[in-house]
Amino acid sequence: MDALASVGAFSRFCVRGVRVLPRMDRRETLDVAASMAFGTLLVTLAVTAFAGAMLTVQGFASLKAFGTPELLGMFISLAGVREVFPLIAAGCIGAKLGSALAAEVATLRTGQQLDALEVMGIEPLEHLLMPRMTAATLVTPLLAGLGVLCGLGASGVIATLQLGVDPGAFWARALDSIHPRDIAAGLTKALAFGALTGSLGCWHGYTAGSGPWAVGRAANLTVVQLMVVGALVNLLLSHLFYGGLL
Amino acid sequence: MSDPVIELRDVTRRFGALTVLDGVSMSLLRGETTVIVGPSGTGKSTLIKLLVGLLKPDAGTVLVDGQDVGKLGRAELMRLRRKFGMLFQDGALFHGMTVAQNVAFPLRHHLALKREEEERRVEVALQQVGLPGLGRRRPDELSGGQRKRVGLARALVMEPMIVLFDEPTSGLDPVTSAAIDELIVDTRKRLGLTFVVITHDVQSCVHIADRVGMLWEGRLRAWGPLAEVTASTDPVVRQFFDRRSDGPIKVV
Ligand SMILES: Nc1ncnc2c1ncn2[C@@H]1O[C@H](COP(=O)(O)OP(=O)(O)OP(=O)(O)O)[C@@H](O)[C@H]1O
Ligand SMILES: [Mg+2]
Repeated sequence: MDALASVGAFSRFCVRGVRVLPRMDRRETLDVAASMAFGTLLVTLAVTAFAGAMLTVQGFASLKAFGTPELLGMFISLAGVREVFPLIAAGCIGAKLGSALAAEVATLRTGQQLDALEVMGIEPLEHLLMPRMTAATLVTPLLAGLGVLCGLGASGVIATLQLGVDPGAFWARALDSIHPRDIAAGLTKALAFGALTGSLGCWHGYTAGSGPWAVGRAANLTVVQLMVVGALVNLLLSHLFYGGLL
Repeated sequence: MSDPVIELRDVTRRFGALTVLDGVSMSLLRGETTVIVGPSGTGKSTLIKLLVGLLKPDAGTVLVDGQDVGKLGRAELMRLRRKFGMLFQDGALFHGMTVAQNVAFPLRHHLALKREEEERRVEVALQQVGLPGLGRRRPDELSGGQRKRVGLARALVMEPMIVLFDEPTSGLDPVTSAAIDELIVDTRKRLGLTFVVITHDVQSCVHIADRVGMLWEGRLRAWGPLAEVTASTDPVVRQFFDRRSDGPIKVV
């Protein structure tokens, strides 16, 4: 019952946010987007690079056992580019960007800056929250895309330089297995996850209580709910794009 | 100079099963300093939030300058709030900005002033609170008392009609508290504004109030000119103003 009520309140919050979109502070949005992108890029690249290397080593070992190591490029595209790299990138974005966002907004709540904005007649939704939600939505596809490229690149480096797979064959197989539909699906998922990160982070920050634990709790709730809801949305979108529904 | 700027009529506000304010009525007069006192958790902050529409009453009406705050739409409410300046407990400054940027913040949003005019008004506001020339500092480089002063400068910079103070002296040493009281009395005299101050600091109340309201158990237990309230023989009022732990007010 309580959970249902908070889902309702969260939805109303999002609808209110979309309504003020025309009046949103654009400059703040760009500023925030830049700092979100720079703040999250390094973690995302580092973790996807390691994931790419890991997947390559694992894939190579299994495929060699079947006697088909030349399929490595295809394997990386199907497993890595479609699911693993985006998932890893999403994890980094949720953990870094989502928690930082929730903590930032929650600090403004506990420090009464949000109340102060309201009393000054400045709508926090227009000048603080919507810019952050929008920035997160726009920045996530960019970060996820770069993460996927980085994972793929790292995979290529390990496959060709360390494992001795023929570069021409690896890249041909890899690129052959990426279809426009994968790109459309990836972009849709990234936009959805970005919007979810921005809105959950802002919501938990905005509704943070007062007291010393409020900020940590907001960040924690954001990351946990992002993982669960994010995985669910990912599954639904995968069904939509690959399950024959589309 | 003595028509009511703010009127509460039978205002009731609940949080869940808890009735925090239970039919409170009062009229605050233009140009006066009204101090609301009361033990912790009696709804003082709730009352002040009702005045600016951060909360809505469950029953009753809150009139500010003739407008029913509870019935206003969001846009009208935002406009009404420009009549208010508010000083929050710890100043509620933005830590990523300098003092001058903090004070200039409402100006930037509401008025498109020329740069020099904006700077001039910021400096005037900082002078009014006794912090001239501190505009370049960051909030974390200031003491608690200085942060409150900056918060007051920000509250005054839009030239509001009513200034609200939520516990202006809490967490300050006695000397700094006295200085803030001085500043409140002084500013009120100079600018002729209507002040509403929430505090549980008895000394501060006696120093700055024209009119005092004491909240207890959701009701206005005492209400009137300072001298009248401090002379009251009501045991609840006496306990609070004599700062005794034994009496009808239970310490939880
Ligand atoms: N948003 C809220 N949700 C639920 N309960 C609340 C909320 N705000 C206040 N309360 C409750 O209402 C009561 C009055 O709170 P309020 O903050 O107005 O008290 P106060 O008089 O300002 O106290 P203090 O002197 O400690 O600041 C408290 O019991 C508090 O727990
Ligand atoms: Mg309070």
